[in-house]
Amino acid sequence: MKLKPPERERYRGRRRRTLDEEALRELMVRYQQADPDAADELIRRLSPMLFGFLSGPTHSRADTEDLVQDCWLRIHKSRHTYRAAEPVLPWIFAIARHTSLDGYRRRSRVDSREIKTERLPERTEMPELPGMSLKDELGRYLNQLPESQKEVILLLKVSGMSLEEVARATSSTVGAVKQKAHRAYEKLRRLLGEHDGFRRKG
Amino acid sequence: MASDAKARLECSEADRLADQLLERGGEPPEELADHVARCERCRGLYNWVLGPEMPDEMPNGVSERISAEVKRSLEPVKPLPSTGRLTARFVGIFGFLAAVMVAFFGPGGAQRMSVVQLAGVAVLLLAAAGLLAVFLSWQMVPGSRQRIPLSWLVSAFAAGFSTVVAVLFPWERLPEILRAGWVCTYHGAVIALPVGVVTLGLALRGAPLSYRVLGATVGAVAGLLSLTVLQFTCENQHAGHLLIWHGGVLALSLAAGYLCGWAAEQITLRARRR
Repeated sequence: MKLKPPERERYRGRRRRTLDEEALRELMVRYQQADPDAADELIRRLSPMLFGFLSGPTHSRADTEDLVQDCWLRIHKSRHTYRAAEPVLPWIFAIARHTSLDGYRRRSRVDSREIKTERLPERTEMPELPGMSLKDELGRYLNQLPESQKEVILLLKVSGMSLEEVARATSSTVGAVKQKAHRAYEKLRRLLGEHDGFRRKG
Repeated sequence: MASDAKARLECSEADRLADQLLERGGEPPEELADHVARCERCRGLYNWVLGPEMPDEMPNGVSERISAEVKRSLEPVKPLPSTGRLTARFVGIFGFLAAVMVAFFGPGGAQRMSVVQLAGVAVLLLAAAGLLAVFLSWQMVPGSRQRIPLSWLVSAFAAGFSTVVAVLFPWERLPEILRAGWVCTYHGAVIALPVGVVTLGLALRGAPLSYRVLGATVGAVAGLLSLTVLQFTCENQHAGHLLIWHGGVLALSLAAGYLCGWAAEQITLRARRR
């Protein structure tokens, strides 16, 4: 049985760019020249991706919105460091990654101080619900991955960047990114397999 | 979950093919695509993992709020020069600073070295300065293609410096190594401090993301420049003295830079939390 064209196209989605790189570069250059329309257009196009990348299991929607705003302010302050010959997404996501890291560290500090004064219940994994779809299950398994593997998967998945671009965004090498992605996929498969086995037993 | 036995049997093979696809890129092979069409487990996993997924729109009003904030301070900016130009500038600046300081303190060390010693040390120091300048340029631009980690660079220099000094310079006895060497380290630290401030000022013209890596890089640059000045001005050109007291300046400067970066990170996080 062959895949129908739209399904095949969806499967090829990893390499498909939902954003035209050339158009993004042109918008970035105009943004550097203080074109307000280019700034609007960049924010409109890239914010959903940043929202997807910066949202986490322990963040409220309002927290994620604050992180996206913080990220844009950092992008704005750093816009002179973008060079027209370079790809836009690794530049954007390198900044987003540090926004996320800072946000995580800030929250950790606040959490650790709060625990000193008040005993909080430990965070528990999201419970498995009967009507949960495979997509929801995968989202839940993603949160069980080590932070660095999860980050690589999110960058590959949310932004559609290539391995080379993810390596740039994470100040890493292509080999290290490949290794992290491979380990993450293996763990996801294992979790999925265990889950299937459990269901079959049940 | 696989819907039929045939599809379930092929999952491990599909995983292998998917790994190859991730490794090499390109189009999915026909048999993988067929399997994915039939197997619910693989379709779910690979469509989810490999397919782009993002909300089409942001929550109401968020983009508008960010746009208004950004446009409030929207002014034209001049992009940074290319990595090559930045590197050349840094090497020029470091070279100039080193030359001025060597001239100021007097080139007593250079006069005591043989041509071979001079050539060996000069090549090593120039190569290290060039590579550190490239690394500093990468730090200034988010998303730069960083081919070498700083730890490799520093380790390679430490190994190279130890080898060149151990092979090309004469060894003295232990008491002589320990005697009065701290004066050189002290002078090196005094030189490294202003050089570090200048280097930091240059680096902050970009947008360094990690304060700790930036601190270590600035410390390494300042330490290397100090080491260079000591090498060409100090009249004690014995291997033990060079390795412990001159090399120690680089190690101290690197550690101090890293600690300063760490402290800056903590202060920034506290300020943001408020």
